[in-house]
This record gives sequence, structure tokens and C-alpha cells, in this order.
Amino acid sequence: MENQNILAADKVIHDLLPQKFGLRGKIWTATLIIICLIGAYAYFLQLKNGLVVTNMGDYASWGIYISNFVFFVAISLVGSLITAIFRLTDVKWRTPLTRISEMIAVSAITFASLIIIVDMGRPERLVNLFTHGRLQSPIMWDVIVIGTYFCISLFLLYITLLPDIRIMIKAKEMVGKPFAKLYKWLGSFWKGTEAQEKIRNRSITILCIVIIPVAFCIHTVTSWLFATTYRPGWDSTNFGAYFVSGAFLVGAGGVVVAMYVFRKVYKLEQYITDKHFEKMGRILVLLALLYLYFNVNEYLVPAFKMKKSEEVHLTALFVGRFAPLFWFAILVGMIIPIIIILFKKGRRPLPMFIAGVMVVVGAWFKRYLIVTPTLLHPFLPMHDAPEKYKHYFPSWQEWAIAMGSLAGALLIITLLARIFPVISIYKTLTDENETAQK
Amino acid sequence: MTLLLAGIICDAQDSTNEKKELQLNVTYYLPQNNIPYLLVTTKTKVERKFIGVKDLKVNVYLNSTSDSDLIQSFQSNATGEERIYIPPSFKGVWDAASSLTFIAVAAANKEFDETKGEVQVNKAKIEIDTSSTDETKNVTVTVKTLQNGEWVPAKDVELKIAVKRSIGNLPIGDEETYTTDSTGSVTAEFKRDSLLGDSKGNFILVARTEDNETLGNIFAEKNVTWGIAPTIDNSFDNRSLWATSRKTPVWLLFMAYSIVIGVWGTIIYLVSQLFKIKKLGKTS
Repeated sequence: MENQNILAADKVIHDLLPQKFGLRGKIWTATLIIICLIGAYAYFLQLKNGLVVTNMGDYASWGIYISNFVFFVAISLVGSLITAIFRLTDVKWRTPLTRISEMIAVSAITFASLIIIVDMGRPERLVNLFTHGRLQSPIMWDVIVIGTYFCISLFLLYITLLPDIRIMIKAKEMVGKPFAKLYKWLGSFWKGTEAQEKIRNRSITILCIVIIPVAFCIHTVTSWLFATTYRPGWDSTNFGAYFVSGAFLVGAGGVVVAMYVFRKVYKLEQYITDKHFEKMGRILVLLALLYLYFNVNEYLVPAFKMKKSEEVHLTALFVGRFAPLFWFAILVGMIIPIIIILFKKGRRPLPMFIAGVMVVVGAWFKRYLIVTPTLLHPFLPMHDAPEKYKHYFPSWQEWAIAMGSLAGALLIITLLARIFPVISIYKTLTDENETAQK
Repeated sequence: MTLLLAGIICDAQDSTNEKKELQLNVTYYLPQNNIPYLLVTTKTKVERKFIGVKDLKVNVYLNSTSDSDLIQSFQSNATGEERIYIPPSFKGVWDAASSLTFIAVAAANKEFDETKGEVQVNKAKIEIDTSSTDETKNVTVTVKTLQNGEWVPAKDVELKIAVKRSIGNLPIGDEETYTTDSTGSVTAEFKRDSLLGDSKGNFILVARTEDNETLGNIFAEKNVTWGIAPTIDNSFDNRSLWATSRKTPVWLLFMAYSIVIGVWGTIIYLVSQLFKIKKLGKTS
């Protein structure tokens, strides 16, 4: 029996250790690097020539950079959903999902921090926020809370990795040399003693408790950047909850997509099973329904009243120039995934993957719709504003930078998955031991 | 054929010889305690609108068009308006005369014939006096003209009496204008209660004639303390959501710092726990 357990343990370690990139992995990574480099070049042009290279103007002063920022902040919330909430509520099947969600959280919050700097015409003035920052400004709250969430997410990823690092140091022949020094530097002190384990467990529990309010804060504060201004489409008391529910949805959608891809690429069918997709499907449909509910509140109530100032904005969304994008975001981002996942067959891996992709893509466009149409419909229009002020379509530099940031976030996840196990080996072994003992 | 040719020649003559009508106006201004000046305008009518005529050579004279009486020559600008100050060299003529004639002559050019404009004014002055009781405040304005070296009251002169404000003048009562009586005076009741003044409650009363045929435009001003001194709202310097970073509301500072200290205190504690784990690893 003991031998069987040892064999099973070896198999788990073998299956879950990080693997070298195959040809597909190399092509994928190279593609991401190329997109990042194009984005970096576009940013170089922006730094050199100023924000004039963008199509932002006096009306649309926030464009796809800010849409992207809101998207990254939203998707980063998944770390708190899967790791913290599932751990504190003792969800047993969470093990294969926690590491993936932590990696997504770290990469997303990294690029949320970077893309907001990209939106600044004079990035070197970022330091002024710390030297002359006004605590009265929601932007200052956002800076504080994003920095805090980044640190907590990184810390959570690191501390949960410690036992796995020890396993990787021990299995250096299987892992290979490239990262041996890194593993040693990161976790050679971890011996897995009872005292160490006790402190680690307590630290993870504390982190899980802290990360939930911080995660709520990060997205609530981001929503307040909009809701504290008196503009059509943003002037809402519903915005905090609306943003948080949307963030949970896109985060869960992102995890489902990552689950499917890692399961397929690393052949993890034994670990990320159909049962996990089934469970995540139920959560995803609940979150999609919740977000749909907030959307109904957000659009139906103002549309029922149809105040003059809101009318132009809502008409543009419902039947005007933004209607195709708006209905795409509602249908593809919420309604179609709900219809797919409501049925048991829809909660199988492939339909779930498709639904997850739809949720994530729909969510990206939804953020664009939250930011831009409102800016194009100000309460106080400028006198004799040039026609170009009233329209916004991103320049190639904006697209390149936005796509570069998305590729950058995927690149971080890819590199983390190359260096560290995407499923916690230690936790999987512990779970299996517990199951065997029962 | 001859008739046709004659018609063409006539048309050609019409198009070349017909000149436009120039309006050359001279207006006289005498601000209180200030140098008198003239406003010379060169305008013509184009599509029912008067527009300024530029590049016209205009000479302005005092009393006669002889070279010795030339006050100033100028080339008109695009606005068609030019302000001419009476130079000190005319002080002798100015002091001796009780009536003055200002003549402007615009030289002929391709578009306009030589045009003359003139204005004759009697030298005059305006005095403002004020009186007030508990219930009413009155403004008495007296207009006097110079006749044979003596100042005599000017009757039937139409005046505007107002309070000087930032953008324009605010009439002191319901009447748009007031007319002087046989003593050259008119008394108007000041009906603008609760009018904001400067920091001490002062504002300026203005009495003026406006395009008077014999007196021109003459002004007088008087400072009165009938206004209300504004109370300065100093809330900008208080702690508020719209103040500078040094004036952040205390409750906000307390809340923000409590949260930041609470969360970062926990993070620092957890980092210390990590060092503890490290230490345990070295000793084990």
C-alpha cells in the first residue's frame, strides 16, 4: 500500500512538474514576445511624440488604455475568488484551480499597474502622486489599493509555492538546470517542518482574509473613478457592485479558459477533470446571471426615466452607433454563455472553454463601452467643438499598446507556468493522502 | 450698333467711376480729470451693414483746416476707428475758447471722394453731489457750460446716472435718463440697495452725457460708500474634499490611514513570518 502511494506520488510529481516548451509552446511564446515588442515600439513613439499619437482628445480623454486597465483590474479579482473564498469556505475541489487563478491575478494586476502609466502623457510625473498626492482623489485610492493588491497577490502566489519549490529542488533531474538557482534562491530554506508548515498555513489563512476586502476595494475604487463624476452612464450608486460582479465573472471566465488550455497542453485530464468544469460552470452561470442582473439595473432604470442628458447616451448604446458593440457585449459576454452553461452538456470542457472565451472577449468590449461612450456625451458639450472630438477610434499605436499589454499578461502566465507547477503538487499529494486515509 | 456700343461704354464708366459713400464721424469725449479725446470713424455701408474702411488718410483739425490747426494725421485701420488725443501744443487755443470745432478730412482715393466730418462742442463740465438720510440716498448732478469765460448752468441736458460695474454701468434708479432743470441740476434717487461694493463697500457713481449735440460725451465720477462690503468665503482654506493635499479632511485621513496601516501592518507581519520560516529552515 505504501509502495503504491509512493508510486502514485512519483506520478503526480512527474505529471505536475513544469515542462519544457514544445514546438507549439515556443511558437506561442515567440508570438507573444513579438506582439509585446510591437507594443513597446508603439509606446516608444508615444513617449517620443506625446499622446498626440493616440486618437484621444478633449472629449474622449480616456480610450482603450483605460478600458484595458479596468479589464485587467477585473480579471485580477479571480485570485481572491478562487484561492481566498474557496479556501475559507473549504471547497475541496479547488486544488487544481488555485495556482492558475493566482498566476492570472499576478499577471493581470501587473499589467493593470503598467497600462495606467501608459495612459499618462508624462509618465515620469507618476512620482508626483506620492510626493503631492491628494487623499481626497479616488485616483490616489486606486494607486494605493492596486499597489497593495499586487503585493498581496504576489505574496500569496509565493507562499503557496514554497512546498512545491522544495519538490522541484529535489527533482532537479526531472526539472532540468535552467531554473535550479532560482528555485534555490526562492525556497531552499523550506524544509517542510511542522513548525514551518504551521506558520505557512496561518499566513495563507490571514492572506486569504485580507485579500477579499482588498480585492473588493480595488474594483470598487476603480468603479468610483467613474461614479464619483457626474456624467451620463457613470452617475450611478450601483457602480461598485456592478463592477465587482463583472470582475468575478470575467475572472472566473479567464480561469475556465486557462483550465482548458493547461489541461490540453500539459495533459492534465486526471487533475483538471470534467467535475471541475462542471463545478466552475455552475459558478460561472451564477456569476453571469448576477452580472446580467446588475446590467438590467444599470441600463433599464435610467432608460425607464430617460432623462434628457441620459437619453443621447442610452440611445447611442441601444440603437445608435454603439449598438452593435453593446448588444455583442451583452449577448456574447453574458446571455449566450448563460444559455450554454445552463445545460449539463454545456458544462463539459469544450463548451465551457467556448463560453469562457465569450465571457472574456465580451468583458473586454464591455469595459470599452463603459469608458468611451460616456466621454463622447458630456453634460456640458463644448461650444463649437470640432467634429473629430465627437468620435473616437483608437490609433494603431493605441491598438498596438493595448494588444501588447494583453500579450504581456499572457506571457507572464506562460512564463510562470514554465517555471512553476500550474497545479500545486504538494496540495495534490496532501489531498490524495487524505482521500487514501479515508 | 452705335447704341450697343454706347451702352457698353456707359456700363464701363458706371463700373469704374461710381464711388461709394463714406461716413466720416467725429465724436468728442471728455473724461473727468483726464485728457479729452476724439473718436474718428471711417465707415461705409455694405449689404445694409456699416463696416470699417481701412487705409484711408485722414487729417484731423481744430477750428479750421489750415496746416497750423492740424491735430493729427492717421491711416485708418480695419476697424475704421481711431482715437485722437488733443496734443499739449493746443493748450492755449483750448483754454481761450468756450466752443471748439473739430474737423476731420479723409483724402480721396479710388473708392471714395474726399469727405469731411466735423463736430462743434461747447466746453462743459459735470459735478456730482450726494446726500443721504436714513431712508433715501440722492444723487444731484449739475452740468455747467463755459460762456464768456464763466461757468453757467446748462439746462435741458440729458444725462445718464449710473453705478460703475465690472462690465458696464448699472442705472441708479428706474429712469434710463435724467434731464437738467433751469439751474443745470437734476436730482435722482438711488434705488440700488444691497449693491456689492469693493472690500470697504465703495463703488463709483457715474454721470455722463451721451452723444450730446452741443456738449459731446462728458463724464464725471464720484466714489461713495453706499455699497455692501463682500464677506470673503474663506472655506477654500478649510479642510475639504476639494482642498489641497495639506487640507485633507481629518475623517478621511483617519479612515485612509487606518485601512492602509491595517492592511500593510498585516503584510509586514506576514513578511516577518516568512523570515521566521526562513530562520526555522536554517536551524532545522
